[in-house]
Amino acid sequence: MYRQDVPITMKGTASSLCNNLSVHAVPDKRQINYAVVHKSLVNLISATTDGSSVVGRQILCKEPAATQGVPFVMQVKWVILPTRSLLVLTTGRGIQIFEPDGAAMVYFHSLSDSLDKSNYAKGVAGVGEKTLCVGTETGAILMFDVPAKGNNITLLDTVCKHQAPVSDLTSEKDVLASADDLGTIIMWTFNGIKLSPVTSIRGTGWPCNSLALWKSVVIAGFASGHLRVYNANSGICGAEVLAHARTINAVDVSRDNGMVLSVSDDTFFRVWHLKALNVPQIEFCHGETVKNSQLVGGRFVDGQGRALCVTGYDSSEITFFVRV
Amino acid sequence: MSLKTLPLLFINLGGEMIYILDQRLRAQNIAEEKSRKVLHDIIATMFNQRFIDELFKPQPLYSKKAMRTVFDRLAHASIMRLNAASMDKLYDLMTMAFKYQVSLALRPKDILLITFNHVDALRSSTEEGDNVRKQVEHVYDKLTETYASLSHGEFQLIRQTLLSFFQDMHIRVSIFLKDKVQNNSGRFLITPGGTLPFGTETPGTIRLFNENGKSRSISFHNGASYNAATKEGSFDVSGDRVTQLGSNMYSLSRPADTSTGTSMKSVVQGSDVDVTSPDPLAKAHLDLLAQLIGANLTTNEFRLNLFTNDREEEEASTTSLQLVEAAEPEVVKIDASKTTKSSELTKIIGEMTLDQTEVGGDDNDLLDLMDS
Repeated sequence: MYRQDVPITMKGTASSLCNNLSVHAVPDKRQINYAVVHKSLVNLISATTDGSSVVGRQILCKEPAATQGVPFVMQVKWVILPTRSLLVLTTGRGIQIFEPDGAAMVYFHSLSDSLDKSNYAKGVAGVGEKTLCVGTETGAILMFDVPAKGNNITLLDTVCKHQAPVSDLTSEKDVLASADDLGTIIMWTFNGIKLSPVTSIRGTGWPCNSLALWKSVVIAGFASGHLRVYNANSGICGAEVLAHARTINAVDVSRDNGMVLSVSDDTFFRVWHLKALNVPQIEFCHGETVKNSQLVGGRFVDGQGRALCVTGYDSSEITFFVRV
Repeated sequence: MSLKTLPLLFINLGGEMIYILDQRLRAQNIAEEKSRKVLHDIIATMFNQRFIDELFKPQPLYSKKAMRTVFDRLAHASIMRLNAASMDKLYDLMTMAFKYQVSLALRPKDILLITFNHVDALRSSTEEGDNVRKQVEHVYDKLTETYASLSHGEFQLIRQTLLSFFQDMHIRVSIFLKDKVQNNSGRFLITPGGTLPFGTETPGTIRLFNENGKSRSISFHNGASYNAATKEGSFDVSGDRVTQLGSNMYSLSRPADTSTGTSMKSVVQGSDVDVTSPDPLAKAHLDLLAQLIGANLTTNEFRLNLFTNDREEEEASTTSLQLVEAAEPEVVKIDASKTTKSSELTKIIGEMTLDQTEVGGDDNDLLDLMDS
């Protein structure tokens, strides 16, 4: 059902981190961008949609105030707000916000400057018109106001409801979903000023590593290999899938038709089809192994799930699969 | 990344070092008494209580270079001497072995079981009532105190931190190649199927719920054959760890395995930013380690060879030299011997030489520290 396509080779290998691949399509420029973390670096690749040109470069993660070495990057992700697009890097000590091409840093927020105490940031999502949310190791979610232009980004609010480090954030318009290391998922609504919790889904102790949200359905991938889908308003679980034999490191959903992608340390990527009913349902479509590759990142390239790409630990290739 | 990773990295690499040295000491027919002294001295230094207490304080990992220096010193904590080629090989084998164990661990928490396997083996090589035995027992206490209560999430972060330390290291190791668990490009074979992590379920089922919470199951093809873990490894001071990872793979029945290895390095350099980062804590620890080892000069020294025979070792030294030479970019040769023509040029050449020695001096910083 999917055939392997020509891979893209990056300058550096992918680190073993959850959600270690972000994709940003720029239809106006007929361009697709890819970002993958390599230790303290981010590999950035710009490819034209016809594949005729592939340009790669790296961002070295330097911290303005840091005196002690270079921090590790925990996550890289493009955030597309209605007013502005940003490239966000979270590290072991703070949050760095770049212009979407990665050329200029517009804002830096420090979370820890002590060597023996860590407070990393992980989980990035935009909510509403111009608000950026970032999760932290303490379980807090920081909310930043992002102006349409310039670097006057300000911290709006901090909400603390998670009892464990935040692992991932995702959003759909005014709805935010957040997950943590104990597997708990909290749904929030945003009224333009404040985040209010709607429902909370208790975890089992295994981290929830990756979240996706589509038509008020939450798709969650867990370190136990389970994939679960919930109604985002009621928190009711519609389906529990024994999806993978090792930790699920990333999930994604295609915007137009609800195809779901899950990737795992067990070398498999699997494609599912979601039915956004009141009690959401899911069915299996396709599964394939990428030889000797513990998959750490996976994203659909287009809105219909016709093409997808995955990254694996210690590999410098972004592997592509195209539906046939 | 996790600040609780350093003790696990150090203890497991140290455990692998002891396995390899033990095997080589026997293969080279070193007198039993000497062998025992070497292993005893190294374990005693490695598990020195003050050093262990420092190690368990929350801190980032050492850079690769600093970690290598620590093990250089440790390997020479006794009467045994290794030349550069043998030391390289020893360190390659240790690191690839632990990379394999971390990569293949069924779940992140198994890294603690792997560590217990190493410490179990070290404990069994010490004697009851001996001071070293007490040191090993102190390590059990520290491990339990630090790690027993950690969540799956914290272990996942520790595993990710370890894997970032081992990232881009693809040295081929003969024992892994023979066992067909590593391919010729230095990658480990990750075969789908086999035992599942403890506490997880076999992939291949979708449980669908209706409005009333009733479920029906649909199965899908999972592409491999899995079996559930029947019991969890013991996290007690002693007990069945269940996993074999971290136990001694150089058993007597396969004695030559560390020596026939053609450890080919795939030279991936320039990607490691951490090499250049300042490492003040590592320096402080190296200082402490240097004090502990002290001026351990004895007349009883002997040389251990990690290769089958001296000739292989010599060849390895020359090959690595040739590799360095080959790696040098093509240079335009300027004959600088005719210096009479321009005094300006002579001056510049003089400055260039000076610069070079300064660069060399920087490189040796950590080693200088050890000698002081």
